[in-house]
Amino acid sequence: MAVPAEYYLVLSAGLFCIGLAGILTRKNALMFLMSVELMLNAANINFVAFSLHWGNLTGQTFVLFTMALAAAEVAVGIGIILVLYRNFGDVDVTDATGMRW
Amino acid sequence: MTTRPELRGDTGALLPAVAAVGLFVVMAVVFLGAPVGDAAGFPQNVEVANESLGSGDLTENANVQSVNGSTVVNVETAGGNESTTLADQTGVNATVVFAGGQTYGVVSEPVSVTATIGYAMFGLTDQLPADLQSESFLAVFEIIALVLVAALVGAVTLARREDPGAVVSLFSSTEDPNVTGAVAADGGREVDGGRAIDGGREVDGGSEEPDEFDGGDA
Repeated sequence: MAVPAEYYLVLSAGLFCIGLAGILTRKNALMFLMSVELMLNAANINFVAFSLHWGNLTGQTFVLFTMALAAAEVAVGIGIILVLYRNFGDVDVTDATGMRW
Repeated sequence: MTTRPELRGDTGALLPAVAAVGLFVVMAVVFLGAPVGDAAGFPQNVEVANESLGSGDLTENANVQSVNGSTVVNVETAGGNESTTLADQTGVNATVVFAGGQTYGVVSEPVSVTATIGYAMFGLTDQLPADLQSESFLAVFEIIALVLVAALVGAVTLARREDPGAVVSLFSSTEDPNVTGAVAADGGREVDGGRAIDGGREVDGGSEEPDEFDGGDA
């Protein structure tokens, strides 16, 4: 007996909102990155849940693609954080208030 | 000394998180009330072997047994018992079915979701069980490779530390003492000697030692 999709959706919503809360309350850029990962993985849970719900493998396969994309995103994000630290001596996102030409 | 989990002192900063909690409540109410229906699920078994045991309905006279490490089916016929090996191992899911005027010994095994993902990704959709649908995802490999390479190059380029006068391009870094106003990854801030390094920090005589670091506390 498969678990109904509603419970996966609630789990996914919880994960998404934890990530959202992290982004709204934290100033550390690394915490931002982790929170964005939580939100991304909430979407992954939905892919897998609806893959099971419809008996179609496309969601499962697409999650692999999304996870590779997340890895690439983290690589770029850490590069940005390194530059942030180099330029401001800190990883506080509220320090970088102006665009540099 | 902290002896239990505590919120950080600045509770006013946590106020926006209430919005996230509110969003969760709304989403939970919507999801639990949505008419999603029952899950179709993945197929449980796939047939891997068919052995014809004879014509006619012999399911009443046939029984599956484990003999000497093999799974065999014994069929009682008028001419005596006839034994047919279905699999060279025990513990398999073997049954006897009657279809199309023949009796078959059928061995089935659970569908491996991991294996079927592999089939789908490599475009081997003919290997998938008949009632398991998927798209062919061969192109995904190319996209993944492209994205990963782009990300790696982007990260390395962004994170590279530049010496004064060094021109950092995508794949090479050359020393050019005469370069002025070079565009660096940080936006090309002008410093002593007209060279752009580590934008945003004041530099003393081209030294790279930061003078305003506070340890990097967030």
